Amino acid sequence: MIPFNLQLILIISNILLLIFLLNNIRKYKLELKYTLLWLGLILITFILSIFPSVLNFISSNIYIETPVNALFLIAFAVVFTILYRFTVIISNLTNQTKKLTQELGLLRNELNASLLKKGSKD
Amino acid sequence: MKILAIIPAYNEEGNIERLVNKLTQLDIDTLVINDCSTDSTVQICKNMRTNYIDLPVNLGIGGAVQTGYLYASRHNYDIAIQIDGDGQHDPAYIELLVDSIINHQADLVIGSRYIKKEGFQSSLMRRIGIKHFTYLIKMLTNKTVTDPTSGFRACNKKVINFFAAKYPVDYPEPETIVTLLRNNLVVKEIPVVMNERSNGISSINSIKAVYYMIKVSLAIIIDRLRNQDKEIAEHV
Repeated sequence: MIPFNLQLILIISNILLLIFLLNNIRKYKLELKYTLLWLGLILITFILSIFPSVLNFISSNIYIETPVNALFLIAFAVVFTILYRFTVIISNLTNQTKKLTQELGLLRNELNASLLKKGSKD
Repeated sequence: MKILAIIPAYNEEGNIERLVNKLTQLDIDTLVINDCSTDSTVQICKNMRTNYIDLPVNLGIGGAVQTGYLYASRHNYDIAIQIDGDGQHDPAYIELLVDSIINHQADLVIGSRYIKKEGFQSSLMRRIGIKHFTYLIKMLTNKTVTDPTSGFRACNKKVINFFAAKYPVDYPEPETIVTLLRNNLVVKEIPVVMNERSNGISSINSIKAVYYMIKVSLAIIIDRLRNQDKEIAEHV
């Protein structure tokens, strides 16, 4: 079992994080699409803090000495997932920005060319 | 009265020409938004000499449609119609959609296939999903919208300007309905008959379905938490 104090801290900080996230989505500061993973993290820790026996089950099955360490392991796994998603998203954004910049450069070039053409005609 | 038909298109080479031809017979302007298709959609638009925007980056349905609303807002259109590029929606109903807007019966009119329940009714799983959104919207706003995911819609200038400023990135339809209802705008449905998409595949597959349901449900609930009566005024 994990200590009751830790359980309490987990639950309270989870609720605070949930309110923080929802409020920021509400204010259009966060995009729900990219916040879903955080909400998933909250859901998982919430379940674990209410039913710590899941942690006991995990720790006894893969020979982790204390259930708290199993909690850390899961937390790491989830955080890694979020980080990986962010890497994917950043890569996409980088590609998109590059494409947009190139498109803009080409458009400028075309505009200049047609302006020059028009100028030489006049 | 300036009317624009916004046609979001992603890989619709098999459908777009027929649709645009039908639309040009009506007395309205058309705008195809090519969302970075990998097929010859843009080439067809070019050859047809139709009005189109070729997005350099794939934005998804929300971003593509919003581009149309931006265009409509900038060119001062009175009414914008959203019609899918996949041939599901019959342009013959556009007149009915537009009529309700002209007569000031509604700010947004949705073409619903579940009022008369005729024509293509979609698969059972999807109908369950759509019913879920109908109940959720009913619960949150006390209004019944039978076909909240319908992408066949018409709206007036007020809504055009609002959509030009704020529009959800993906799966936008149900969420925008809640946004409008929450801002005390009038949303009306009229019965239409839809076809099964003529060519190509739908953008939502079964793996995405669960994600879609969770995301849109959350989006609707969070939207209901937003302040009322403030946003529309800000953007008009």
